[in-house]
Amino acid sequence: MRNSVKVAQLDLRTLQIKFPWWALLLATDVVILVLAMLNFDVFAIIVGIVFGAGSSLVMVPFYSNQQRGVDGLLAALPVTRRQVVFGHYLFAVGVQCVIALNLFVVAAIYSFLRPDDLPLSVAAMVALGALTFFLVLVAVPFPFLMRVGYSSATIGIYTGVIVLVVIGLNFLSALGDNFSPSFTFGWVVAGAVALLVGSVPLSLHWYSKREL
Amino acid sequence: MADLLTVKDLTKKYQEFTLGPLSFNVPAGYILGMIGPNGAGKTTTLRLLLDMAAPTAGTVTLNGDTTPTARALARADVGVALDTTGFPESWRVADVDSAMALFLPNWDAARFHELIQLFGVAKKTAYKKLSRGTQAKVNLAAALSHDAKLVILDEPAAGLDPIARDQLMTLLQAYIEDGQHSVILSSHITGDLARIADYVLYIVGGHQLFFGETATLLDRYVLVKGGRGKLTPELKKLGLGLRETAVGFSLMMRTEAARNLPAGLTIEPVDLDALMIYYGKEVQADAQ
Amino acid sequence: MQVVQSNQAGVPIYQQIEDQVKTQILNGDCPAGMQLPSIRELAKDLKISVITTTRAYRDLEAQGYVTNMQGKGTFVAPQDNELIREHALRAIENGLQTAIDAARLGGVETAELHTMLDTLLEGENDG
Repeated sequence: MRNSVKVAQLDLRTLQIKFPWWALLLATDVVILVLAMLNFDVFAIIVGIVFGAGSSLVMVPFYSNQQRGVDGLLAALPVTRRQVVFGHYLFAVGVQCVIALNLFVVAAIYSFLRPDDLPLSVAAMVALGALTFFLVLVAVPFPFLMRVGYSSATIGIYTGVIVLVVIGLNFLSALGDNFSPSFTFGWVVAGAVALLVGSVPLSLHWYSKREL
Repeated sequence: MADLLTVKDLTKKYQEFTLGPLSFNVPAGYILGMIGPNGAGKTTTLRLLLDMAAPTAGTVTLNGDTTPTARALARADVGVALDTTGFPESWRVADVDSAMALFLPNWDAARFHELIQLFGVAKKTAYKKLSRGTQAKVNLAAALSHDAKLVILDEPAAGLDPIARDQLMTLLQAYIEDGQHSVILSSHITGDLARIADYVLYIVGGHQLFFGETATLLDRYVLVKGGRGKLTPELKKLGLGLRETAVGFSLMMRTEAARNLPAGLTIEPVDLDALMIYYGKEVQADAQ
Repeated sequence: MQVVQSNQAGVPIYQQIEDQVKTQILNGDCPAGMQLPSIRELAKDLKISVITTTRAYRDLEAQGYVTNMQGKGTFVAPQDNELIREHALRAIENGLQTAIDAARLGGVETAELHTMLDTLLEGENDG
């Protein structure tokens, strides 16, 4: 599994973030909080941006080499195909967990400062919602990424998932009055995790057959 | 000397194209040149050796490993520079260095920087901003910097100016000098590289036309030239790739067949370029 | 040991190497016991394949000019006079034939050819 971690590290290095990532994160968080304090609606926009960042960052390793992914490079390195797949998942889920966690921290701080605007429970749900969104966004397109790489088909699936999830979340929030939100939410998160876990064998299978 | 690579009946079937069966081997301490026209299957062959695609039939034994998984784990002992193994667009030389160091236990950073310097690559420029030739140099430098027993290069001379090509030849010969390392390279630029290739694998349309010592292939054919009047029907039958002009003709022929030719014809040895040109003409003529 | 290869000549490279090494051995530039560059070193210096230099050295060994000692290198063998004489005779024959051909082309008579030979030899003995 050490090799999978190395693959995840390689993926991370395709992001080419100039400044230390934690400094960047910290700076962004401060800006968000300040803006939110001044105008709450900004917060919703910020959440939207976070959703966008979390989903697109994960794709970078797959088009970082002139629309080709790092998989060509990895083929020349001492790692097996299984390790590559695990490494990609590790990277994607890892990055998104960090983003979701960060969102939660910011939301929690804001909630602490303005508990009426944003109760802590809602802050938690927003962060969890982001994580769920991200997990589905890895679970569904990844097998296709593994199968055909970064192509229009993959992008299509990717966009499709985003649309579906957004519709789904709206649907759920409408439905939310009938069920206890945390109960529904619990199922949704569990579903996302199951989807993610289920997508791994498919990715492994398709990637093992892939021609690079 | 043991073989670093043994290939037996390697075959890959695609819908419109079949590669193989190919059978060849590379002993330690030698250079194998792969030649053939575009689309002949040279790159596909290299990809099969690297398990980037799975063969339909046949076996590959590389550095002693016979299965894709074993080969994958031992890949630190193979140096690779293909079109598709390039680096992420945003990376600079230092990023390549640290990434390779992460994966390759024998990574020699000093050697890498030495080669980068030798090739004159701008260290601070992002990979995507480098010219194709310079990108190729970076790939090459990386492939040669971890003491890999076998180095596999796809068209390394493409996009290189004559000076860089000369540097490349010198580097490759130095690389095999200790008799423990070997190089496989595919190339169109047969001139320079043909002289240093000990063995040659000649592929046309997916078929293996020849594998063996370069000298053997070159000894097998001669070029026959003469004035227009000298071109007889028998000559035409014996020869390949006939080229007729207003001032004369030339064709390629098996050396034995050229032993009893009438006087007045010029007979010359072939080089790899001529071989590919005349053979290519013959294949074209057949197709028409 | 010096080897200068010509791309122009129709002579194969391994043949050029053999001829040049033989010449140097026979005229004393490469004395018996001297070590020649290794097969791989020579290949690198001349920018030719290892198989080519291997063949040249193998031929030279077969003809008695050098000895290949496994692990140690290639050394000039002690030369036997038969070989040297044979080589000299062949060189003389070639040179004389060239002179004869030139004389024929230029319309120079046989008697004059003999006179020229004697004059040149005398010149050598004096100087």
